[in-house]
Amino acid sequence: MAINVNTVYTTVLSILNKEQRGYLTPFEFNKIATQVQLQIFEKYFEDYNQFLRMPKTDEEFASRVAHIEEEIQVFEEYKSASSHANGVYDFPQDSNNKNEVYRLGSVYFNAVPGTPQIELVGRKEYKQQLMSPLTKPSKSFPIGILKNDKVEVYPKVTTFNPTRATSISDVKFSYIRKPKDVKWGYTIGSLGQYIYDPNSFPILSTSLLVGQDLLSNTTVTSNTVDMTVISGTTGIPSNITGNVANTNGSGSGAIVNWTTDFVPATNPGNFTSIVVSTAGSGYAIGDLIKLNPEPSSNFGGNGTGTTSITLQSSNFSPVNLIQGSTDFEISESMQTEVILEILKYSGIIIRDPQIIQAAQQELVQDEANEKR
Amino acid sequence: MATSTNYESPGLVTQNNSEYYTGEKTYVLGASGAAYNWPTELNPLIWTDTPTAATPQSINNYEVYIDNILMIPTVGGYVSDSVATTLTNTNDPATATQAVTINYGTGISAGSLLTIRLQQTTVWDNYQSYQYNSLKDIVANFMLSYVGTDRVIKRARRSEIIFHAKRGLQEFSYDTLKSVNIQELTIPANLSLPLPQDYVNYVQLSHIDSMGIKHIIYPTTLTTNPTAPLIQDNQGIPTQDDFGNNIESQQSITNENWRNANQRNLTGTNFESTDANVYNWNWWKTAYGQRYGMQPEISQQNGWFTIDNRRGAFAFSSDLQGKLITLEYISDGLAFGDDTKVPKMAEDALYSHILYSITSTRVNIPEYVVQRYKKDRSVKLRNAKIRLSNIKLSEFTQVMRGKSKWIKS
Repeated sequence: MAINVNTVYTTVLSILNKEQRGYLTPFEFNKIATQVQLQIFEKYFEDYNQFLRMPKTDEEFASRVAHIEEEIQVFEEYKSASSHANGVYDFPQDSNNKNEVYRLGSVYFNAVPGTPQIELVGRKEYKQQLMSPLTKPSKSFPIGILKNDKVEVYPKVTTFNPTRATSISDVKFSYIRKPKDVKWGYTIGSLGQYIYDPNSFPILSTSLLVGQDLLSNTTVTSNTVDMTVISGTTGIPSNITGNVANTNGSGSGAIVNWTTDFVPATNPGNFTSIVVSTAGSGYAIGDLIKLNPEPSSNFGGNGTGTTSITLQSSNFSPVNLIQGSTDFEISESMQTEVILEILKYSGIIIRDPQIIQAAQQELVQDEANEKR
Repeated sequence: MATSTNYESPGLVTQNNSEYYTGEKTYVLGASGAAYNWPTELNPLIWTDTPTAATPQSINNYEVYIDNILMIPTVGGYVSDSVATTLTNTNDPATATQAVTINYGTGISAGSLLTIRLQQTTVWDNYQSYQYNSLKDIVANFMLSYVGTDRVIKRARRSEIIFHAKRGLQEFSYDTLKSVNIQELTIPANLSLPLPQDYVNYVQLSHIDSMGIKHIIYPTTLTTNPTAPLIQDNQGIPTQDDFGNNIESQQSITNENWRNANQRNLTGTNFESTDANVYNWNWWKTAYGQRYGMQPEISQQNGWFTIDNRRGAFAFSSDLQGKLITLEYISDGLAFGDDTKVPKMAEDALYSHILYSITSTRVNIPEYVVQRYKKDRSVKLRNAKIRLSNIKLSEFTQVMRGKSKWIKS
């Protein structure tokens, strides 16, 4: 269970204000809280390693290892690759299309029965294994090389199955993601005071984010433009503007520019970008949108092309950056430590060494008890 | 015994009785274009027109019947006058549910009985599958139970375990596991047969008589198989080709002479109608086996074989031409990849082998621990060998009765 950000903020303020020592603004608090959460989160892994090397107990509620595993499980993810090309699979991404892998656990080959684990090796070891007939990578015992937040998997799907279409779900990643940034959000009251906003951050507008390329969304289905039926020298503009049709929502008014790489009268091509130029309104996450009209009538009347895109949070801009809150994701059992750590940093900000010392002593005492 | 799935405590048997014995699934034919899911408990269906994706065993392992009439397979699926079938997920069985789509025209109607049946060889494979574990199961079991924090091996790469498992299986195959490879062949006029693809060593070669009884063919040292039958000039110097390599004869004269030899001159087999040179005083003293004391090694009429390493083939004596033989041989157990079968009776021995192999190649492991695992391996291997030798007391006593020796049982 996560720690409520308002509980922590108000507790910290109460302690700080006890002797009129100072005040911590929401902006400062958010920065410190995020930092403290990361610090504690990172310490989980060191503690986990240390506990594994210490004598253990399996008694209920007494096992340190079990406790740490419980703390970490909140951040565990099991997702498909974010994209792939020629047997190289990219790490999964979050809703903002950012690499989400904080600590990589294991990788699995979902393209074969049983989803065997992919053994991650260095290039040198890969070459050595390739040279040995007994340890060559196989469907049952695949291996992978990590490079630039991607994994190269051997054997490639197309090696043992030339006719099968590859997919991002061929490879599954088990990993730990980073905790979300902590945010104490607020609205401003009639007296100019800060009022805690318990809604989840971000509170998104219903307009699309202008300049966003919708093709980078995780759910884009069918992305082809077939112009082979167009003959002669029909001129096709390289950049076309069109409306967007919302097939299952109530949004309207969005306009996009799209580009393609097709060559008229030769090969089918792909959309290369679909960039929002006018935001529109009334859209929501999960809405399925498509181009309107579809390329058949735009491209000289003879081409065909379909694409549909499921809107995700990264397609919307927040109403503003102050509203909406994000709780601490680490568990409530760490609440005391969180408050003390924040106080320690607060002491630095308000330049009060007594706060730092008191918080530090408490933390050392806690640590000593835990590791005894 | 009912074998429907017991969800409370699932056993290792996953097929029900009819799936095991018949390897078929019957459906009521729906509309043309309908798909029929193949049960995942059964052997996966294989059908491909892409040779690169074919398995070593077969390209196509199932048949389609409509109202018990076999549909005729052609390239691309089963196509009779009015039926075409398509197997989805063909090349990668069991990744997802396999489905067979049936398209049909006039002459066939919905409601007919549709049967999808595995071919006989696939069903036979299925019959004996419970005796074995696959190598990938062995590796997975070992990783689960022996490797990790608080286990006997704290850390090991999977490739290391695969290596030792495969090496162990190779070693076991040579002298512990049963030899299950027996080829039935007829000896051609050139008196030679190529070594099998997965051949490591022979166990026994026998010729089979008209009653089906086998007679052991023995190897011989009477002749040899030159590996380099060189062409010489009149000075006796080997001649070379344009690239400076020795020129070799296609045919060895030694082999030729052996092939042309009358084996009766060697074995001393005497028929009324033929002269085995027994009374022929002109015949030089090379008549092995028939005079002045018999040599059992030579006085037998089952025939001989040698292994011609130059051609990678068995070479047989001329009296075996046209005869039916069986070739029993051992392989290293790895010919068919990760689905290689490991007899369950040797499973524990293989775990012990991997454990010993890993600990003995690591530093900082006390020698007494290594020795313990070594003994463990040795004991379990011996047990496996005894089990696989298939010695049954009743059979043993029956054999001994024939020798007038009584064993109390």
